[in-house]
Amino acid sequence: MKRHFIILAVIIFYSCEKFFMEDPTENNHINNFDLLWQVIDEKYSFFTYKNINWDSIYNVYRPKVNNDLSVQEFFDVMAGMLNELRDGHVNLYSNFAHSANFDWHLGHRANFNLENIHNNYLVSNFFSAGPFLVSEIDSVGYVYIPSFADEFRESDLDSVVEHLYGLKGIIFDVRNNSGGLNRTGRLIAGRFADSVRLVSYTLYKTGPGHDDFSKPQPNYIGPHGKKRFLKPVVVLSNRRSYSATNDFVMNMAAFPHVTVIGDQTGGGGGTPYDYELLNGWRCRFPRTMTLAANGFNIEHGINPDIRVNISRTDELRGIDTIIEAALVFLSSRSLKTHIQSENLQDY
Amino acid sequence: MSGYKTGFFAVFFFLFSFSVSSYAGEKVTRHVSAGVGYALYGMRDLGLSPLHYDGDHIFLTTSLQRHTGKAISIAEVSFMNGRISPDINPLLTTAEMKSMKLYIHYSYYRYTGSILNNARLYLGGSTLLHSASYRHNLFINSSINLNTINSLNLSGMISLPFAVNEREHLLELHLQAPVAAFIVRPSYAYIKPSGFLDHSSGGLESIFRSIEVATVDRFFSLNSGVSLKYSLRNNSALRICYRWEYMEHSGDNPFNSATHGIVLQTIFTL
Repeated sequence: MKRHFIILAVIIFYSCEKFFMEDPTENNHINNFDLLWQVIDEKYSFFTYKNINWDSIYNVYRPKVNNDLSVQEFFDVMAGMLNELRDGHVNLYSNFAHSANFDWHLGHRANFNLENIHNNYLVSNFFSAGPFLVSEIDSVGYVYIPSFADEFRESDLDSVVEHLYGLKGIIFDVRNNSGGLNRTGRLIAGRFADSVRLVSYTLYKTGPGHDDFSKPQPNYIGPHGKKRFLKPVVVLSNRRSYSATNDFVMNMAAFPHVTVIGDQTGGGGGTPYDYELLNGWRCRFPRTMTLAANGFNIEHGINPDIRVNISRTDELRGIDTIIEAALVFLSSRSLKTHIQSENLQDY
Repeated sequence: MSGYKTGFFAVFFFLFSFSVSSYAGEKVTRHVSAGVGYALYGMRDLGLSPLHYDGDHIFLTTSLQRHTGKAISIAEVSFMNGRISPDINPLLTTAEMKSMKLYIHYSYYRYTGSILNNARLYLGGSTLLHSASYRHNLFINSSINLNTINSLNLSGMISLPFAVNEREHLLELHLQAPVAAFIVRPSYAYIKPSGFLDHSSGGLESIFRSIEVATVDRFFSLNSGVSLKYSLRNNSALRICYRWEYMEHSGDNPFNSATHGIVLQTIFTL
């Protein structure tokens, strides 16, 4: 009798999960290509917005793939297909290389010279707190933030606001800041919020169809921190202000005492998410879409309130035309609605 | 696969359907137990990756049991912590996930009768709250994934008492399977480091959107164990238990997982 009991135990307890699990898809080039194409097809956010025919791209790249390709050749085909999305948030990572697209700033003016900023605007008496480089120019605070990639202590931000609190205005320079965490930019924006304001909407990809999105989810930013700076503020942007920096510029622009000066931002309005392939490679692509509070899709960048370019002559003389324009603007203490942008164009 | 499930449930309901009058013993005993163990855990979540991840885990568990001649009720809390990595050549990827799981389990068994000479058959139900978090080392915005599954199950247990050197020991075998489950499995939830800002509700939206009440056509699990209870002279006992759990959720992001664990417990009679 006990023998029956033991047989029953063996049947029930050692019945391995493989009994229920389906066999995994075989790891080869063709299956990896098809998986990548399908994952992007079902989850990528901007097919309709960018008017991309993903099926026709499959027809171009699929014939280039066979299981005899070398790993490098296969990577190049996969990266080439992803590059058709023209998206700085789309990457393919392998154990030997990764792909990226830089269309968002290539072919545009740099509008930034870090050496000139160090030599003539930060000079030697600046102070730094976390990622912030801070100086004072003609009773105006100047803050340069090179990246939103790292977390910082809120006390760093409080000390920056405290240090600049008595000045007549602040310039926030986020040029060449290619992003990082949205959270970082939003923490900063809270120090400049006069009230809780609707700043944007996020749409989440919810289904396999190219237009399967959630309803727009509103995002608000309200006052945050010990002190808030409600005097005139200028945010400086250029084509390399991307991703989380694009988000920061959009958020700051929602406040009435903030003016954006410089060049259009680089864009990058979708939050990128990761997915793995059968061969262990990893792809990254946006699965959300962001609209500004007025409904404008920020994927391709945000226009400044006042467009200014750095002139070649100024740059050679060590002058940052965009910072100078911001200083003029803040000195005049005019509201942005009273400034005619044409007066400041084409430096 | 659905054929296997149908067959399993047919057998289970057949076993459940024949009732035998309850045993009349009324003596009540209570036990508390604490245990530690090792588990091998494997999972595949197509919302994150097509790769199968597995790895070693430490298992901690504590339980409170109430025995009468007619019924056994067990409340148990278990915690499992470890790391899992893809089952492909490690030179191809450095991917790894930290995995944490919490189980809160309540079972009630009713004595149904004797089978196989002196083995005792119990049938009943249970509720199992299973909450898991995974943190991927290479992912950025979808690095932290949380899911919670609360299932209502049919349960069965066979216990076989036997004596060695005039001391009673017990061999137990239990099995449970769900009839319905409340599932919260967002396809992606949180950025790294954790959390969206106060006014940004994206993560929360993703969680609420994923809520689902599922029956066996979309959620299936088997939870079983075999244990040997060795009585000590001071009225306490040691128990070594082998557990196996399989879980499967179909839907937009199909998921399955399996756990094999060995737990060593000390049981005290209150």
